[in-house]
Amino acid sequence: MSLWDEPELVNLSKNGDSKAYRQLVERNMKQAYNLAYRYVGNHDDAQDVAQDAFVRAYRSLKYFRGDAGFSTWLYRIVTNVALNRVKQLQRITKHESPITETTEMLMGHEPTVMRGFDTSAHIERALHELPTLQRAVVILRHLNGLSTKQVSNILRCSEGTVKTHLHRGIKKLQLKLKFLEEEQV
Amino acid sequence: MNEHARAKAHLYEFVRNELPEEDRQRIERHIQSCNQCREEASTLSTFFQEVDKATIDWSAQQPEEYWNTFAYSVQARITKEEPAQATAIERFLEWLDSVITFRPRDIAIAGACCILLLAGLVAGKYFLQQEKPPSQQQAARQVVSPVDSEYIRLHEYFRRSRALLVGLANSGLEEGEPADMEAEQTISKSLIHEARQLKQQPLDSRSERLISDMEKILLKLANSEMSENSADLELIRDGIERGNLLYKVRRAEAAYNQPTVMFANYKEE
Repeated sequence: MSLWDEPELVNLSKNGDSKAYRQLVERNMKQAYNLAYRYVGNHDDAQDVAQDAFVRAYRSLKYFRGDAGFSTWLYRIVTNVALNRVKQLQRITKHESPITETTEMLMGHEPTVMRGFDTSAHIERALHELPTLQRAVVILRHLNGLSTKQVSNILRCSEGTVKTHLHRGIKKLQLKLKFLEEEQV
Repeated sequence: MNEHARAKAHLYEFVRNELPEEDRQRIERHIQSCNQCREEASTLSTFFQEVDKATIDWSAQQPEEYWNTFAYSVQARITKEEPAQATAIERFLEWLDSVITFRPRDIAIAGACCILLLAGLVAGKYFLQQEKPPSQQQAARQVVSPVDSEYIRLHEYFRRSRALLVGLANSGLEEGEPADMEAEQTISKSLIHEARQLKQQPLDSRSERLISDMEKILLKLANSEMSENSADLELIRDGIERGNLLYKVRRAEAAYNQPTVMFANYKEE
């Protein structure tokens, strides 16, 4: 079964082959979870978003035409589900920057022990302060390493828009994280 | 695009080493000679190194057992939720989810359009309410005729009829006395002709009845031999009086004098 390529697995899944769909899930679950985590910032929501995205993808498989790869299509669903979740969370916290697990992990730990997490927490926080579309572009393009074309497919916008948002997002992140460079100096 | 602008536009791809070799070399050459681009590339490169170093693979934070059961958990959710057949709306939303991406700007534009539309509807309703009395009169006007020229024509018809009726009432002839009514008869013929044309137009029932009553009088007047005796004139006067025609014609004339206001009152009465 593992020798099947992605389009074949998609076709088998469309015909109700649950084992084929499990293969698709196993191939993409870590990327989907990572992406979800970068949007929502904690394990519980990331797990829920990733699983929800796979369930929705399964139900919508009949609409999947295969123009883009399955993973690109899945990323679009993850992005939609995650951003909806973020909106819900923002409504609850009333526009406060959500406290991510990395921030929580910092509490009660020595800075030297959590050195890597410290910087990560600052990056995560700065990322969460970006406007939604800029955040989505930075996450997909920079952190997940997708191409401009793939990001434009996922976010349904032009490649020019992706480049603009990436440029602005990176600039804002640089400004927000400027103190990290100064600390190092 | 000059070399500087080209380098700036592709600086991200250059630093991330995503450019084809030829383009990379071209930008490299520019950067050697441009302090601004060199500095920017260096800053970006340092920043990305920091970010990459601190970027956590969140999936690696979970134990392997977690990933061994992840796909089964998804499958369990699918199986669990499958018996409850998705409604048409849910299926539509799922389909929408698979094709449309969350775009805050689009949502903001759509929201703004909805607000504008709503504001327009509210404003429109407000102004319509403000202008309600005139519009009712306008509706009443349209029952009779869609154009003002027809009001003017009706007004003219009733004005001439009134003048004729007043003339007949004041002629002062005694019974049996011959009368020269040639002018009145000519006017009668002209009014009969006009009445027939007016009856081709859509009229309110009251005006139509009045024009018919007038027509009988006018026909009698037009066909009488007044030069021999005035008996016919008495009959005509009697008809005018019994039908209260002079009063009715005066009212109609007044009503069509200012059609938008007075005719509404004329109709309501």
